[in-house]
Amino acid sequence: MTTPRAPLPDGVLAVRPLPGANCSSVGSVVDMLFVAGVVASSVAVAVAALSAPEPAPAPEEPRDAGEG
Amino acid sequence: MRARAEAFGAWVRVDDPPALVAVDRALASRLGVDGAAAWGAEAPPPRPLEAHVAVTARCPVACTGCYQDATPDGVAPSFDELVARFDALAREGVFVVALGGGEPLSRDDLPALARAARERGLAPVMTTSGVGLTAARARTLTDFAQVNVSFDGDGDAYRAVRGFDGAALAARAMNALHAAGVPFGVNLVLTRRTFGAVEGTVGRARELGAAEVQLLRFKPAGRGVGAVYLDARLTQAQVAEIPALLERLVRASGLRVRIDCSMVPFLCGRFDAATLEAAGVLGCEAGRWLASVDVLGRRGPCSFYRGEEPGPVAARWAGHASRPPRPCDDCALLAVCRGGCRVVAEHLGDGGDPDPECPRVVAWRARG
Repeated sequence: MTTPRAPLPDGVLAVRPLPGANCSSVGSVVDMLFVAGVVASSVAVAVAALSAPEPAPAPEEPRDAGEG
Repeated sequence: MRARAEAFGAWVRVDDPPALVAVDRALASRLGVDGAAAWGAEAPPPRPLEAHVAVTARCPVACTGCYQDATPDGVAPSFDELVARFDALAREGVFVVALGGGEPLSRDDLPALARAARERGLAPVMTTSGVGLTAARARTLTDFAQVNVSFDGDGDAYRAVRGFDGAALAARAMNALHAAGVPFGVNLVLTRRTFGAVEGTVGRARELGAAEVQLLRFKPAGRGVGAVYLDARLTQAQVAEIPALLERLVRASGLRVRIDCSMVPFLCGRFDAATLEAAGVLGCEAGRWLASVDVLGRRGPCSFYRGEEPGPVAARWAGHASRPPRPCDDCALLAVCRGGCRVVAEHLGDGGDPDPECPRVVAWRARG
């Protein structure tokens, strides 16, 4: 078993490249698994430059997606 | 930039390069994320990061294994109904909405739908066969973050997967997207008959300007069930080749390579869960970080669930990994794989069974 884990910045747990465009199942980029640092290094730059992000809504009770 | 507090800290969406970044609580706090609700004693259940929204059940082509069983006269929700669904998903903190069907291009209001999604903080993406995607049409799709064209190979390979030769159609669509500057990739469904042509197909997609290839496992749903599924699914010898195939594609194709959630079991023995987690790889997140919305507005665990009880099934699938059966219970990949594809497991056995095509499960069963 190989674990060529790319180094991630302090406080960063995972990096998931977006967006992908499949409508039926979740797609995950695997480049980082085989070539360490391929994406992580560029994302590290983006993370380092983060400013206060726009908050997404707080959790709420599950509801029908069709409700407006 | 957008963030959502989670029990572990937060998911943060960054735009350059586009990514979801999971950060711990300390970093989330420094970024100004309000974690009061998520970091309490009782953490909220996972909410979808991505939602797959069926915008129509209409499609002019008739793929043999269509998981939605789409037809030329399928139903299509109104624009207002779809926007209401976007509103609900945005309230839950969803980051990406993937529009599918049916053939999304059978709708005339796709540009407006993409804008409506963006106005709600959702990144819109779309999957298409390419039918109807002219150069003029492609220029109206610039609000999509990415479009994926279904492309299973040239000529016979395409026909072997979908039952008609739509390769030229897909190539024309890719040319149009490339000319319009719309980021695009290809969806490539793996079947036993076309597996040997994958690298050639990916090379052709690159020639046509694709930036990404997503490899998909054929799923037993819609018209793809029973004998159709058994005839299409990969052999175990092919499954064993997947890690090496992925490595060749990553190193040589020049494209970004994605696998779908159902292929994660095929990586067992090569990676551990921590490695996959750091790379943001998601296994079966049906009913957790993935949700689907069908044409009638019903929420489901994933697009392949076709039953009448999506709520209870979503809860059951989401909880599967918390009570793993043998041999998943001591698998190094369980935390990410989550027991493999529930759609396949339920089609070929019982809902509580492990994914019967996982090589580790096959080996364990062979040992008796």
